[in-house]
Amino acid sequence: MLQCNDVCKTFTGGRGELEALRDIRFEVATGEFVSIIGPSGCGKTTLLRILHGLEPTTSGAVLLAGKRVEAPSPSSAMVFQQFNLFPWLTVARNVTFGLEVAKLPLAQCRERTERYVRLVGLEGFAEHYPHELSGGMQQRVGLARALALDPEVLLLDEPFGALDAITREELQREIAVILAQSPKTVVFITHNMDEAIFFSDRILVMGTRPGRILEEVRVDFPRPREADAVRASREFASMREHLWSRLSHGGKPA
Amino acid sequence: MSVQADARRKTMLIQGAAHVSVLLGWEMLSRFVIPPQFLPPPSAIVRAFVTTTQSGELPRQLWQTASVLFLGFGLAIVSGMAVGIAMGMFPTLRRILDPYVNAFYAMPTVALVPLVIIWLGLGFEAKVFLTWLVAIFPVIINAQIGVMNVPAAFIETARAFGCDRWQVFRRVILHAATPFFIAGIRLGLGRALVGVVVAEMFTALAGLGYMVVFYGNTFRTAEVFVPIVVLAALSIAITKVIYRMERWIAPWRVAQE
Repeated sequence: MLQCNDVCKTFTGGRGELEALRDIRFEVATGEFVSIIGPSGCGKTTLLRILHGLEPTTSGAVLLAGKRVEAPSPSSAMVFQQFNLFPWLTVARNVTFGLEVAKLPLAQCRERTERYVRLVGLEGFAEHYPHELSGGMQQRVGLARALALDPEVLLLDEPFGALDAITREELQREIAVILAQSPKTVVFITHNMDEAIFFSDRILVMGTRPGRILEEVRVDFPRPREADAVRASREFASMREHLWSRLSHGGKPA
Repeated sequence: MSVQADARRKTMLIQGAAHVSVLLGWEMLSRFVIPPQFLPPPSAIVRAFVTTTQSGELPRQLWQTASVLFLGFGLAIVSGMAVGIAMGMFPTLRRILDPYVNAFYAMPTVALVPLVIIWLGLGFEAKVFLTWLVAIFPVIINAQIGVMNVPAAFIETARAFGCDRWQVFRRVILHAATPFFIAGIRLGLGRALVGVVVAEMFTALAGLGYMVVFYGNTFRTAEVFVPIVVLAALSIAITKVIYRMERWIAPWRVAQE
């Protein structure tokens, strides 16, 4: 279980203080998929970095399985909006990166790399460099790199944000399949309501200035979900409308 | 495929013809219009090349120049990278060294030749030192810029996957900055070649630079051209080696360009 206990974050810079996050409190149960949705500048990414231990909190704490998260560890892994692959490493070496840093035995590194490269459908591209791949393929590498660590928590920072509509759709379907086969605890940052509804068990709606959680929305569509069926349903439309009304007033206090 | 081969053969033919006609034109010009003391014909240069090679002079002087160049430039690469990387990593060091590096880089280092002669004499050490001094600054500056320009996203990603400071340096910064390192080496090479020749002109009686001066002073113009051509060939050869090295070390970068 991932717990976020009253996390506050204030940045202190040359122009004074900026309150980025105020009293963020939520829990994500093991195997649960939670989306965090909010307008840009609401501190979603800062929150995700705090959940991963990349950024210290000003007050409050993040607990993973009861233990305080203070630095990145292989128990959670991140997928980035801009993929952030290392251009000097091949696909296989990019996927192995986290495993090597975590000091896994060589044989295990190799075995897992091969398995996850295959899982994301990149067999035959292991020795390619990132610049030889399309955006969608690059994000598959990013996903394989995170999954290869076999983390308890998967942190997705707008992973489809830099992809075109068709690629986005394809990758979404595949991720849904992968997660159905081996469920993970997932925190998913997005500003796309359709994505949030399609994937989530729960959606946390954030507002800006300071970043805070405005509302929690349960999504009860049965799994496995079929994107077109979900989208065509009445519940989907009303949920989308509700989220939209919250987001469009998100800047102001309710 | 055969169309491509044909096109390539045609290009080569045109190139070859152009070179031959330039040489022929030069030969005619030097034989019938310009006195050979001003511009010797290519045939005379070839003859001078053969005689200086047979006498053992050219190989000996080339070896002199090459040993100074490789030692001075090699030391410049190693020490310049170390200093540049350190300056990129540690802001305090950067603030201390920056004015000196910039001053030395901007100033014409040839002006230091008399000082170097006073300090180190006219021998091998003085020439190596001058070459090193001329070549090191572009290496330092580019290494520093490379380290400082590593995209923040790479460092963030490395940290997200558990790298400590040393691992971020070794696994990310060194790789991401490689194209800058090589650019610095390439710029340093040009300066190192100038450094060697200038050092040889001013100091000990050895090397290709000395050959230029000696034959120039005795008006043996054809012989002057021999070391000049050899120097040109040497710099092209080393540039090629650096290019190969880049393809080998950073294939991802070369492919992107």
